[in-house]
Amino acid sequence: MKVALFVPCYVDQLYPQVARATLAVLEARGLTVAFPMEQTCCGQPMANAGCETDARATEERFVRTFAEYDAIVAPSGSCVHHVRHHFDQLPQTDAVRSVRARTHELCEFLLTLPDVAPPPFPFRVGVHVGCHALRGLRQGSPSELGPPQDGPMQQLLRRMPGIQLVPLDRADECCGFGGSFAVDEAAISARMGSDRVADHRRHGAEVLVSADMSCLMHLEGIIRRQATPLPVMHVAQLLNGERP
Amino acid sequence: MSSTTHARAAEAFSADAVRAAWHDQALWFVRAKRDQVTHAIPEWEALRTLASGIKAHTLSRLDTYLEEFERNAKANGVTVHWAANAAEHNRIVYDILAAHQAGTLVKSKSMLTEECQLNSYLEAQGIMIVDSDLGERIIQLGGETPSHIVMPAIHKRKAEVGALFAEHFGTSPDEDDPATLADAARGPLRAALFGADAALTGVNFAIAETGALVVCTNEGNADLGAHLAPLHIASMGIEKLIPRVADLGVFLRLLARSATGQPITAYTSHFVKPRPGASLHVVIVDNGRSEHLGRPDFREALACIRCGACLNTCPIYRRSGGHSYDATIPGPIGAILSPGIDLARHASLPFASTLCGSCGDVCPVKIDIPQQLYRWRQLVARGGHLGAPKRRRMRWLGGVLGSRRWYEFAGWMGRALLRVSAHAPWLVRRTAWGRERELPMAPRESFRDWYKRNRAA
Amino acid sequence: MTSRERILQAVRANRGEERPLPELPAGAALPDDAVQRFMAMIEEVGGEAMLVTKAEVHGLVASRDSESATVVSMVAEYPHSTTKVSARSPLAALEGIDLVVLRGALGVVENGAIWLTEEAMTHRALPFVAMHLVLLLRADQLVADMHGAYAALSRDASGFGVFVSGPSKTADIERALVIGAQGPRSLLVVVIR
Repeated sequence: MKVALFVPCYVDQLYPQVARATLAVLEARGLTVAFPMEQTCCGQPMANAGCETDARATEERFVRTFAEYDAIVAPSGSCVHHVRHHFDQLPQTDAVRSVRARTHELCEFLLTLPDVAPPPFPFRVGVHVGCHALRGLRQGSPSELGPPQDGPMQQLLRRMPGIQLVPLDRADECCGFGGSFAVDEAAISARMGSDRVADHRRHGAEVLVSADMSCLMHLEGIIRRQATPLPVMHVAQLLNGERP
Repeated sequence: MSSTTHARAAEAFSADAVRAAWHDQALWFVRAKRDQVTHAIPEWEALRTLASGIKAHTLSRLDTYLEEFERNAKANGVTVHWAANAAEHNRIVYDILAAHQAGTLVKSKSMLTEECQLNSYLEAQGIMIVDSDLGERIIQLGGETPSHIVMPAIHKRKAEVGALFAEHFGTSPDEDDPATLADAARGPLRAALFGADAALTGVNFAIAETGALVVCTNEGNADLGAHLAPLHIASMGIEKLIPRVADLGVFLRLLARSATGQPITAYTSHFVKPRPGASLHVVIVDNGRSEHLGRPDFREALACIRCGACLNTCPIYRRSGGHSYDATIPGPIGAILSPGIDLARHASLPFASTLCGSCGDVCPVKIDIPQQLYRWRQLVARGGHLGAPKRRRMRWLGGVLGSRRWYEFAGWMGRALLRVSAHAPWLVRRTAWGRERELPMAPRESFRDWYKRNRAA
Repeated sequence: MTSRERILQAVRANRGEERPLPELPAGAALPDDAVQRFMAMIEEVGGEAMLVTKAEVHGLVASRDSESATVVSMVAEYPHSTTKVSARSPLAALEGIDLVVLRGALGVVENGAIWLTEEAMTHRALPFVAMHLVLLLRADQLVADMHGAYAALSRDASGFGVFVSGPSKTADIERALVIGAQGPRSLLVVVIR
C-alpha cells in the first residue's frame, strides 16, 4: 500500500512538530510513508470564504500530487472533510474520485491498522472534538443526536495507560475558529473560544488535546493571553510518546 | 458592501459580556431540553427522515396540493385569497377587515405577518392591533421586533419586562417575578381577546386533503381570538402545505420537541369549517417563495416548520442575539432564507457561522443548513458582495497556495513576520486576531524544511 | 392574470422533479401500563389526572365546583351548569366562566393530549375561556402516539377539533414556566375505569 502524508498548510508552517509526530506514528506501525513535496494546501481557506474558484488551482494541485497513492493521511479533520465533500467543483475524473475516496483523517486511519501498544499518558486530558471531524466526517456521534459517542480519536486516547478524559459541560460545542470567521467575526470567535477554555479549566484539564490543529491554534492563542498556562497538544503527539 | 453587518452587530451585543453569557445560557438550556426528550424517542431519526421526505414530495408537487387545499377549504365554507407579495397580503387583510367593519384586531404569533410588516400597515390605516401572544405583546409594547421565531422576547431580562409592564399594566416598578408579570398581562390580554372585532392567526400546517388549518400554541391565545371574534383571518405561506391529515402525526411529534422540549404544545387546533355564525378567511402568500422553489441548491429550506431548534443550538446565534441578523428570521435558517430575498443586504449572514454543523443535526426536517451556508457563500462572492479587500486577499491566497514555490516563500515570509510581531505586542493587539488572542509562535523551520534536511534522499 | 394564477404558474415552473411521498408508520401498540403513563404525562405537562370509577365522577367534579362558581358542563355525569352556552351564544355568556366540564374523545399516551371535538364543546371558545377545565375520558379511549391518534380520527368530520395537553402556559419571560397564561389555569383529566 502506497501511503502519503498530507500536511495541512498551517501545520507545515506553524506546527511542524505535529507533522513530525504524525509521520513517526505512522512509521512506528511499519508503514513506508511518502511526503510528496509538491503538496501545498487542500483549498479550504479560499473555498470556505466563498471563493471556491480561487481554490481550484490548489485543489487540482492536491489531486495531481496524491493521485498515485492508495492512502493519503492527514492530521486534520477539516482538511479531510474539504477533500471528501467539497472537491465537487472539479470535473470528477478517476483521479479526483480516487483521491477523494482515499483521503483519511489520521485517527480513523490508525484504527484500520494493527494495534500498537500506546504509550502511557498519566494526565487529565480535556478532549476538544473538532466539528469537521465530528459532524462532517461523522466520527463518533454529537450530543444533539444522542448520548455522545466516541470517535476514533477518543478510542485511541482511552487506550493510553493512566489517561483521564475529563467530562465537560458542553461536550462538543464549536471552538469558534471557523477559518476567516476568526478574524471577520473576531468578537464572537474569541467568546466561543474562551468559553471552551473555561469549560476545560472548570473540569481540571491539565492538557487540551484535539485531532485538529486549527482549533488548537485558536484555543492556544486565547490561553496564552490568560494568566494561567494550559498546554495544547495534537493527538499525534500523545501517540508519539510526547508529554506536555 | 463588506461582510461585516452581522459581525458589527454581534460585537455590540457581545460587548455586554454578562448579558451575552446569560442569553447564551438561556438558549443552551432550551437546546438541552430538546436533547433530553428527543434522545428518549428511539425512532427520532426515522421521523426526521419521514418529515424530510413528506416535505420534499409536497414541494415537488406544490401546485397540485395548493389547488387541492383551496378546493377543500372552499367546500368547507372558508374564503380563500391569494397574495403574490407582502403588499398584496396586507391590502387583502385590510380589505377583509374593512368589509366586516372591523376596527380592532387581535393577532397570534405569525412570522409571516412580521415579514409583511402587517402591523405598521394596518395601524397606518387606523386599525388597532393587539398581539395576543405574551412574548409578542412584550415586543409590541417595547416597539421592537422579535429576536427568536418561537420565543420572541428571549433577549429581554425580566426586570426589563417589569419596567415595561409597570408602564402599561400598572405593576410595581420593582416587580420582576415572571409569574406575577404574566398574571398582570392576563387580564388586559383577555380583555383584548374578548373585545376584538377580528382575529388573525398564522398557520403551522395546512392540510391539502381536507382544507384544514392547524395552529399550535401554548397560551391558547390563537383560539381565544379565533373563537370569540366574528371574523378569523389565517395568513399562511405557500410552503405550509402538507398532503394528508395523517402526515400531522409525523410533524406534531417533531415540532414541539424540537422547539422547546415539550412533547406537544398545550393546544393543537384544527380549523376545518368556520364557526357557526362567523367567517373564516385564509390568505395564501407567495412573497418570494415560488422563486426560492426554483433554486435547486436552496429550495429544501422551504421545508422549515419554524421550530427554532437551529437557533437554539447555534453557538453564534446564542452569543450574538437575533437582532444582529437584521432579518425577519434570524439564526441559521434565516441565514439561508434571507440571501434569497436580498443577497446584498444579507451577504454577511452565511458568514455568521463556523460551519460547525450542529444546526443541520437538530433540524426536524433535515434541511442541510451547513451545505446551504457554504453554497450561499459562493454566490455572495460571485455576486460581488464580499467586499473588494477580502476578494483580493482570497485571489492572492489562491494564487500563492496553488503554487509550490510561492507557497514556500509565503510560508517563510509569514514566519519571519510572526517572529518580528513578537516584538510589537501593542501592534498585534490592534489586529482582529490579536485583540483577544496571541498569534501563533513561529518555528524556525517548517515541516518540509525539516523533511528536506533529514529525509529527502 | 390573477395572483392565484401567477403563483400557481410560478410554482409549476419551479417545483423540480417529483419526489416520492413516504409511507407513514402505523402507530405503536398500547403499552400495558398505558393508563399510568398517560396520567404521568398529564402531570408532566402541568395538568392533574385522576383515575376513578363511573360512580365517583360526580363527586370528583363537585369537589372542584363551589357555591359561587360559574359552571358550564356538557357532560351528563355532571348536569350542574349555572349558565347555558350554545354554539351561537353571545360573548357576554362566555365571560367569567370559572369551570368547564367536557368529554374527550381520545387520549394520547406519548404526550398526555386529549382530542376534543366541536360537538363535545358546543361552543369552540369553552375549553379556552374557562378558568379551570375538566375533561372526562374513558380508560379504553387511549392510543399510544400521534400516528395512532390520526388513524383513530380518520372519520372525524368535526368543523373544529383540538388536542389539549395540560393547562395553558407560557415561558416567554426569561423562560420561566408560568402555568395559566391567557387560557385555563388548570386542567383536570378524569380517567374513568
